[in-house]
Amino acid sequence: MSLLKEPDFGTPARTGEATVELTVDGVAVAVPPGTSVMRAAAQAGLEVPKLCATDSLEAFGSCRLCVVEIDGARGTPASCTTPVAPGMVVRTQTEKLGKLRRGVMELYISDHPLDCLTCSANGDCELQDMAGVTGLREVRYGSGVDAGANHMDLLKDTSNPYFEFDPAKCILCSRCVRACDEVQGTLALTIEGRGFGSKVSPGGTDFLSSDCVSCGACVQACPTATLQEKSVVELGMPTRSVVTTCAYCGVGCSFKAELRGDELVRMVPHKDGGANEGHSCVKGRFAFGYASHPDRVMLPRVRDSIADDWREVSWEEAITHTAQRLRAIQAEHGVGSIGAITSSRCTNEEVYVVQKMVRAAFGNNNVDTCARVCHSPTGYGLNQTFGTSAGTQDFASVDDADVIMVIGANPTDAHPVFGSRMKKRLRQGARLIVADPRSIDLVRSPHIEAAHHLALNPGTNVAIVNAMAHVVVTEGLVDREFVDARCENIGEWEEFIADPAHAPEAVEEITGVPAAEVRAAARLYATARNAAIYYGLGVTEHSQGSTMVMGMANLAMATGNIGRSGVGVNPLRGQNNVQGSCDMGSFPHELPGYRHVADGAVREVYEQLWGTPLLDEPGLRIPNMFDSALDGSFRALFVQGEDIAQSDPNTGHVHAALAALDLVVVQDLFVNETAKFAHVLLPGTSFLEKDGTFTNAERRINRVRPVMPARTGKQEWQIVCEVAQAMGYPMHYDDASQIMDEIALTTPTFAGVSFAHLDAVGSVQWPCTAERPEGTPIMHVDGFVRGKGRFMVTPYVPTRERSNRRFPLILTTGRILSQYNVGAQTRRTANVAWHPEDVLELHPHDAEVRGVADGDRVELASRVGTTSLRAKISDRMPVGVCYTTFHHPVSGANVVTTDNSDWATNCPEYKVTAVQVTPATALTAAVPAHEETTVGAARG
Amino acid sequence: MPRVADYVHTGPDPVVRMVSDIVIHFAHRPADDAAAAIAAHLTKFWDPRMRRRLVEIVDGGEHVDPVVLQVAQMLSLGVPAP
Repeated sequence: MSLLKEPDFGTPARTGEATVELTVDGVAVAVPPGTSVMRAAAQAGLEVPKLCATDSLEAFGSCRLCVVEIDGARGTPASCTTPVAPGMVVRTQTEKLGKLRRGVMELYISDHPLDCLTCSANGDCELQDMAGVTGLREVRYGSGVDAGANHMDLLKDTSNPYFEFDPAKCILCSRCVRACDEVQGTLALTIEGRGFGSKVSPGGTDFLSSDCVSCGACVQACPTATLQEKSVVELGMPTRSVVTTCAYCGVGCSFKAELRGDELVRMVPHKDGGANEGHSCVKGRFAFGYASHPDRVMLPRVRDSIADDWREVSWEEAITHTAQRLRAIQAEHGVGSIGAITSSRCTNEEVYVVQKMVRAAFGNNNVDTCARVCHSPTGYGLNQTFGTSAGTQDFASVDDADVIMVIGANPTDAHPVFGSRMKKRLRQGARLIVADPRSIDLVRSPHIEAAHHLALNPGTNVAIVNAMAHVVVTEGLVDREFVDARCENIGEWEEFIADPAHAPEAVEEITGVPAAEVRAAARLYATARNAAIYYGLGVTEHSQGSTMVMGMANLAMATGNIGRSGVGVNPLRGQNNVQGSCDMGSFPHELPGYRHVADGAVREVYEQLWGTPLLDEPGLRIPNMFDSALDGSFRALFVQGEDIAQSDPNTGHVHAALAALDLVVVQDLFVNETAKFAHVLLPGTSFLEKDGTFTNAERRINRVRPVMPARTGKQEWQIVCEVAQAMGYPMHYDDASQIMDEIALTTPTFAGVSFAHLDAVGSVQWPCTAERPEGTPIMHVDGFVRGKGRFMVTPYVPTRERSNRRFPLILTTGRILSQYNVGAQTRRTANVAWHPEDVLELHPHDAEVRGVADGDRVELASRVGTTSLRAKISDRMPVGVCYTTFHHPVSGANVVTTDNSDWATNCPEYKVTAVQVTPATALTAAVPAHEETTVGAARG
Repeated sequence: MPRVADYVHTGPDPVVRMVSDIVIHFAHRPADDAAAAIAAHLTKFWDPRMRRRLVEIVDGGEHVDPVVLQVAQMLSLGVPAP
C-alpha cells in the first residue's frame, strides 16, 4: 500500500487488441481477450470491491468480495477469476451483491481487531476501505475477542529490521504469499496449516531467519497492517510523496518517497516506473537510513597534510583554497598535472559539470569515471561491433526471450528487481544457460533450473564464447539472411572461428567445461526463436574483458539475435548511473555522447559554447593517474563520490599513489577511505537531496527529484561550478534543468531530453530526439548504429595471472544482495543484519585440505597483499576457486587483487587473482572482526 | 586507515606491461598490420605522456619486441611536443 493511491485494476493487463466488447453496469467497454471482468469494470471506471485481488498478481478468487452478476450465468461469480466474453452483460452493484459482500465483511471483521484508531495502517487499509464501501454497519457474530475463537492472540514477528508481521491482523488473502511467488520469485512465504489454523508463514521460522530477501513485495501487497514498515509504525503515516529514482544498482527503480515534513518515512516502489513496474529490493525499498546517518559530513574541511587533523571551514574558504591549490600545482607542474574522477553514483548533471570543469577550467582531458573499473570494456566492445556503447534492449524485452544466457552476472543479488523479472520469464518456460564458475542462485532455485550451467574456470570466458560460436558456424546454425543483410567482416571471422582450435573439445581442458555441454548450450542459444544475453562484471573485469564483449556481440549477430524484443546483448550495469556517467563524457578520450576528443567538429561545438579551446588528445585513465602520481607527473585529483582507496585493485598501489599526490579533493557524504588521503573534503548530497537525472542499464533517463533540501546547503553541481569559477573559468547554472538543456543542445542522442519532457512522459530511453521523442527502447532495429554490425576476431589470450604451488587457488570477487559496493551506504543501515562482514567462500575440499572449518578466520594471500576473513564453506564454489565481496574496508578484499587489467581499456581484472588460503595465526584469530584492520604486504 | 605496507613497484614499467598486453591481443594479425592498429589504439586511448614514455623506453633499448619497435616509430612521428 502507499500514501498516493495508484489505480488498481485488480488483475494484470492482457496484451492484444481490445476486441472483446461487453457492458458493465450499462457502460460499454472493450478489452483484450483474457481480461478479467474485474479489470474490464475498472477500465470502464467502475471499481468492484476486492480484497485478495490487486493488479500486480494473478487472480486468486478467495475473498468473495468481488462477486458480480452476469446475464445468463449461474450464481454470482468472482469478477477477478471470470474472463470477459463478447456481449457479456455484467452488474456490479445490486441489492443481492451488497448483501453477499456485507456477509463476507462480517466474517472478516469478526476475526479482526477493532483498533482502527490506533492501528498503524489507519487511513491506508483496504479492509477499512471495504468496510466503508460495502456499507458494513454491524457484525452479527460479534467482533474482536467477543466473537469466539479468533487469531488475535498471535504474536508479532519483529525479527526483520524493516517491517513487522502481525498475524492477528491477517485476513489470509494470500497476497503476500503470491507476491513472494509471482513478483519476487523467492517463494519464501506459504500458508501453513488448514482451515481455521491456516496462517501465513515464512517457512516455519521467523522472517529474518527465513529465505525472505526483504524485497518488500509482501509489505507492498498486504491490504492491512499485517505486514507493515516499522518506520510507519514508529513515525505514523506519511503526509506527502515525491516520485524519484533509487541510487543503488543499474536497474534504476522508480520510488515514491513518502515523508512527514522533511522526514522520510518510507520508499514505496512506483507502479509506473518503467524499470521496476512497482517492484523493489531490500536496498532501494529500505536501506535509505544512511542519508540521515550521523556520520554525514555537513561542513567543508581542509588540512595541509593528511597527517593533520581536519579543520572545518566555510564553503567560500574551501572552494577558494581548492581552486588556488589546483592552479598553483598546474603552475608548477603543468596543465596536465591535475585531473578528476566522476562518480556513477551522481546525477548526469553533476557528472557533466565535472567533465566540463576538467576540460574547460583545468584545460586537459584528465577525467575518468568509476565505470573504468566496471564496464569500460562494454563501451569498447559494443562500440567496435555495434557502433555505440550501450545495451541493446529494454528490461521488458526479457519477457519475450525464449533462451536467456547469463554470463558473469548474478542478477538475483546485484540487480534484484530485474532478476525477479527474469525469473518470472524462466518460470513461464524460457530456457536458461548460465556461464559462471559459481553455482549462482539462478542455476537452481525454486521452479528454476538452468538447462546448462557452464561452470568455467575463471578467466576463460573468451574460450567459451569462441567455442559456442565455433559450434554455430561449423554446424550450419548461422542466420545467413541476417548476417548477409546486416553485418560485415563475416568472412574473416568465420575463417577464424571455424578453426578446430576453437572447438569445444579443443578448449575443454582450458575452460573445464565438458565439450558436450558447450555444444548443447550453443545449439540451444542458436536455434531459439529469441535468445538474449545478459552479462555483468564477470565478463568485463578480466584482462580480456573487451574481447569477451566483442565475442558475445559476434555470437548474437551470427544467430540474428539483435534488433527486436526478446534478444540482444545486455550489460547489467553495476551502479545507478554507470550508463549516464559514460554518456556524459567522463572518459578521457570522449566528449559527451561518445565522441572522440580528436573530432574537430565536435570540439568546435563545445569550444563555441564554453568559450575556450579544448585539448584534442586523450587524458589519463584512473590506473594511469595512479601510475603518473607515482612517477610525479600527476599531482592533484578531484574525486567525486567514489571511494577509490577501497574499490580499486591492489590497495597498496592505490594508497601509495594517493599518498604521493600534493592535493586530493574528495566530494562525498562520508569520510570514506579515500578521504583519509584527502586535503579537502567537500560534503556531498544524498540522492534524496539531488535534482537531476540518472540513466539506467537500459538507457532509461529517469528524474531524480529533490525529496528534501540539500542538508549541506549546496547541490554538488553548484560546488563544482564554484570551484571552476574560482579557478577563473566562468561556469554558472541557475538550476539543474539548465545543465540538462546544455547536454541536450550539444549531444545528439539527448537532443529531445529536458526535465519538462521527463516530467511529462515519465522517462525515456536514449536516443531521444525530435524524431523519437518517446525514446528508443530497442536499438539496432533496422540497422546498426555504425551502419553494419562488424564481426571482430576474438583470440583467446590467457591472463598473465596464474596459479602455482605458492598461490594455488583463484579468487574471484563480487557483490551480495544486502550490501552495495564499498558499503559506504549499506553499512550505515540495518542491512548489516544480513552481512556484517565479508567472508571467504570456498569449496569443502579446499577447506578440508587446509584444515579450515566453517566460520574459521583465514589468511588470504596473493602476490600483492594479504588480508584476513572468516571462511564460509560452500558447495556453490568449484574446487580451486574462492570468492569474496568487497563491502567492508576492514577486510579490504582489494588488498589482494592485482594491477592486471583489460588490454583495451585498463578495466581491472578483479575476477582472477591467484591466492593461497591458510588458517589465520593465533594472533590474527584473536582479533575480533570489527576491530581488525587489513594487513597488506607488497610482494612484488 | 588500513595498515597497508609500503608499495614497492617491481616488474616492467606500466606502459610496457600495458603495451605488451595489447600486442598479444593483436598477435593474430601480420606484424605491419598489428603495429598500425596498435599505434592507432594508443593514439586514441593513451595520454601523450604515456606514449612519450613508451617511445623513450624503446629508444633506450629496453624493449625489443619488433612490433613494439614499429609502434614506437609510428608514435614518435605523431606524438605532440610536451
